[in-house]
Amino acid sequence: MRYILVLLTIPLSFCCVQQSVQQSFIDELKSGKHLYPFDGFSYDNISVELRNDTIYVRAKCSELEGEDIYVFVNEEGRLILRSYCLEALPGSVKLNAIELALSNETIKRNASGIVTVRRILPQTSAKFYIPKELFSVTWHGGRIVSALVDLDEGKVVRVYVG
Amino acid sequence: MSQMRLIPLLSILLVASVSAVEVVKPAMDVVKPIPPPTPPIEKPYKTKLIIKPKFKHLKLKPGQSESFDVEIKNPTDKDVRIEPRIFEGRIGSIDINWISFDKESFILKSKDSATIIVTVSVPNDAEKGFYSCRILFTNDSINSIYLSIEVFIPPSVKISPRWIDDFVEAGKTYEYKVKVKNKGSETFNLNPKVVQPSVSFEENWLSEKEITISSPPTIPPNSEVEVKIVVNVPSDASGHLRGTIDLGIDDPGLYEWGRRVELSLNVYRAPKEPFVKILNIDNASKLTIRVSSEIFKVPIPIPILRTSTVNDFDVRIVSPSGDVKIKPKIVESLIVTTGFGRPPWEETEGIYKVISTTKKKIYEIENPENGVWRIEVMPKGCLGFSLEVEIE
Repeated sequence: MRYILVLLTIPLSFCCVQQSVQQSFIDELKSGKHLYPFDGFSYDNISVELRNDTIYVRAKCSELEGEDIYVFVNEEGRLILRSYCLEALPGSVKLNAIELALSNETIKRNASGIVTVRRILPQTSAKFYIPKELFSVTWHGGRIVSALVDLDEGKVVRVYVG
Repeated sequence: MSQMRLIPLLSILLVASVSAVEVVKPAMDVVKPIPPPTPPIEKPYKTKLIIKPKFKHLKLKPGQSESFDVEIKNPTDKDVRIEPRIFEGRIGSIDINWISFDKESFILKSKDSATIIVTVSVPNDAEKGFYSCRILFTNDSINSIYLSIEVFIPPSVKISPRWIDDFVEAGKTYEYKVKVKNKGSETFNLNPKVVQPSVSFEENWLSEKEITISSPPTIPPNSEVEVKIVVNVPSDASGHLRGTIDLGIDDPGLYEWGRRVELSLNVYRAPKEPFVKILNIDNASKLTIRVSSEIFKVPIPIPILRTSTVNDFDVRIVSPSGDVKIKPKIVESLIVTTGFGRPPWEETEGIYKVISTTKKKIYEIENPENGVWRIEVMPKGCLGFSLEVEIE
């Protein structure tokens, strides 16, 4: 009987520790920690939802159109940003990015359909260019056509035609 | 040297040459310790460690420091020497003195794992900007992580709005007010001027001829001032007009682009009268009218104008006997992406994203009266619509 209790207690206590870690992550995220709003802005509406060990964060800034979505997972006690979709941007920044993307011949030739402009974080950009904030301009038409653009330098750094 | 001593020595050198990672071999009593080989950093290797995280981005103020854990697992059958060090990046190289490790050099045994605490300390006199480097954990480049650091000085001044998007009419004058708030304890100067980019893909840049700015010369501590921007849209203007105003605020926390107010003006004159479609009904059993407007969540490619956020339309149906009061059926269509087929730099896997919404109003009239019918559609904020008429 004692062994059964011990066996039951270990997973239960592990579960409690996990829950408290998860809760502290949620609290941190609600306060805006681990989130990256667009230059100079701050989120004024952050909603955090836990679904099957995955933490979904939706963040908005009243001054910006669009919404930023972050998906985190708790990997062995470490909060890992698994995926994200950052669209809370000023309209003119989106236009600048589209304009710059269309200056590329391949993009101009292939772009059709609905276009999205998303912010790419430095940790992702590092894999394709250098670790700095870039923008992905993507057309969702018959095929996916995308340009990774550096607005500071005014250049298209990578092109993708699906 | 006897043949017995030479063979193990050669085999060690051979092992060292095929793998850039230093593999720690069991001690052999016939060979004197040899210094570990130091092959070139970019040389191919065969021993790959599992390192988490692969990328780390920190945002720190001058004088601030932050630590993070790097977990290293050795899945191979060989012991490996771990020696964390800095490999400078391509932009804003980090001073290696900013970064320290809690462990300098140790052996990570086969199938074992270890955690290294990396501490980044930004000195008080560091300049704001982006810095990056790679941290190498063995003597080759693949067992490494990227570290990027944004050194920032919190700005005292907040400018709102920094982006002005509007629809304007040619020949009219528009006034925009920008609030500049100083939360700091010192006074900043304010010297706004219209600036134009040296290179642009668009020709319609507004200049000082079209923009007049008025503002106080300074912003005292804990106060708010207003900058007035008056735009005279030329009478022959068309398409998309752009303008940039550098407020010339000497707050060291603001980047050059952070001091700017961007104008994005679409020259457009909305129709004052509704669109009219005349129909002739002759012994029809049913009349169906569908009006829809696509609502894009994001701008569509220039030069087509962006839709406004209102996106609706008034529909009036007039039969030969007069106005027909009928409640439409509303159909909303969404296009949702899941991250499938995305470009490799969009880490949107598993995220539902609505990229387009279409709202459709459907009016169904049974046994419509014979004669001339009139359908009027007046857009409210949307830049276009589609109208479909079905007579059965």
